[in-house]
Amino acid sequence: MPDFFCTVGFGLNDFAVLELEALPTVTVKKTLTGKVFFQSDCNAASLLALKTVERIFVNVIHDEVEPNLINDLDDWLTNKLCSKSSSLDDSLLTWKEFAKKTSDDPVKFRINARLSGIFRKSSLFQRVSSLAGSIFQQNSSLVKDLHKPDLEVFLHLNDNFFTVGLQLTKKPLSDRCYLDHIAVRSTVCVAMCMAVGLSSDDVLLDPMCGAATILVEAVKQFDCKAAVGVDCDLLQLKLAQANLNTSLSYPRIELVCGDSRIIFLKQQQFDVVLCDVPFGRKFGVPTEIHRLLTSIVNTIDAVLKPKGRIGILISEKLRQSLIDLCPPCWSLVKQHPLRLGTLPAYIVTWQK
Amino acid sequence: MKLLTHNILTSKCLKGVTVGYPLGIVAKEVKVNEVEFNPEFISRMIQKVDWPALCKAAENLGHLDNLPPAVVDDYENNEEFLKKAHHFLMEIEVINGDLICPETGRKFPVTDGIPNMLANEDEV
Repeated sequence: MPDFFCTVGFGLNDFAVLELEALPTVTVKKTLTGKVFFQSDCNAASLLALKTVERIFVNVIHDEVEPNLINDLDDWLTNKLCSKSSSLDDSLLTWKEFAKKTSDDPVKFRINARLSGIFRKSSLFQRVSSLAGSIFQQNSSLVKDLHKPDLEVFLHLNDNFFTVGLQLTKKPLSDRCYLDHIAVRSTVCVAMCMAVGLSSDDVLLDPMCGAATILVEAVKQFDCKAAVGVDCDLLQLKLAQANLNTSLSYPRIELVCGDSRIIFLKQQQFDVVLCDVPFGRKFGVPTEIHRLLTSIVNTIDAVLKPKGRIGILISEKLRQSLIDLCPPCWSLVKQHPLRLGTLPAYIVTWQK
Repeated sequence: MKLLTHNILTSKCLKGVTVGYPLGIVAKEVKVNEVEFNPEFISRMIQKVDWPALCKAAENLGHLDNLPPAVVDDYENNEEFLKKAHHFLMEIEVINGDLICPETGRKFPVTDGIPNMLANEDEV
């Protein structure tokens, strides 16, 4: 079975593994920070439908890095890449199936190198990229093309591992063709839905929905039949309307302009509430943030059915304050650490 | 704004309002869409829907004739009833108009399908 790996945002490994294990003929081999390695006989459509991963690659090389490698890098790289040329040929065959490349024309490629740890030096970057590019061109049918490649060859060198992969798609899987306006990353939205065990029968509320990205993923990926998004900013709701149109989810998502600090919705109507709480950038002062969190929690508690589930995305800084504020009838289920760019955050889930 | 959504909106947050439900509707533009009928989904929604409020809303929109006045027994198996409920809850949409608080008369505008429930600080 061919070997693959996918890149995953920080903290989303568990969700990616869950998604992978739900597919037939997938065996997860290894997880590292930011990567999950697996084998699969799956058809392309199933793998390309994964929703919590960034990109997927056919795995060419994944080897441990020897100590003091930096002193001998060029030779080591040359030997490693030359010795793995048959692995490259096999991987190319798999890639061609996914990319549906049937013509015999040589495949144009470029190297996409990432060097971290002790290798993170700008002088090394160009050297490694050029060297790898030349060796691949010499040892295979690939042809270098920096401007219009058919294939991105991903090369990652850090203190522990040297990994090379052939990217299956031109754009990351995390880019959704049906969403033009993103606040929270789509992979994180899907993780939030998974964290609360969202099902197609659940009626969902997002009390601070912004451009409604969480709701769109709930409809597209989880077949959610009814969802309501509330936001106090009409401009955000305009973006939400655009997203609803491009994703064709408008029959299932209703938008309301309102302030979720006050209760204008009937009690106990929703099975699930998912919310990306503002991280204090707009409401800078701690007492204001505390007041905001208290009001939001009260609103959520009022509109949620008994046994309803809650999933909140919150910064690490505000996490404990939020947990301390929650009513005793909310039973804390789990806290998932992750990162939004460089900002540490959590998905915290409760059941009422 | 679908009537399913109207069914959960209240003006109870306003000062001096005890119930604030249901909100009256004065519509300037109404659209009727075709939405995929899902009997299990509608059955589940009917459990939570305030039927008299739905009737009042339909009446405000001048569409009352077709709507049964009450939820029938064994509605889960009554496809005709479910289809009518589906039509009123999911297919009728207020695009522009106002929602009216039944106690204060305060108007909440509906613009481009989105009801605006924002109130001033001195009103809540």
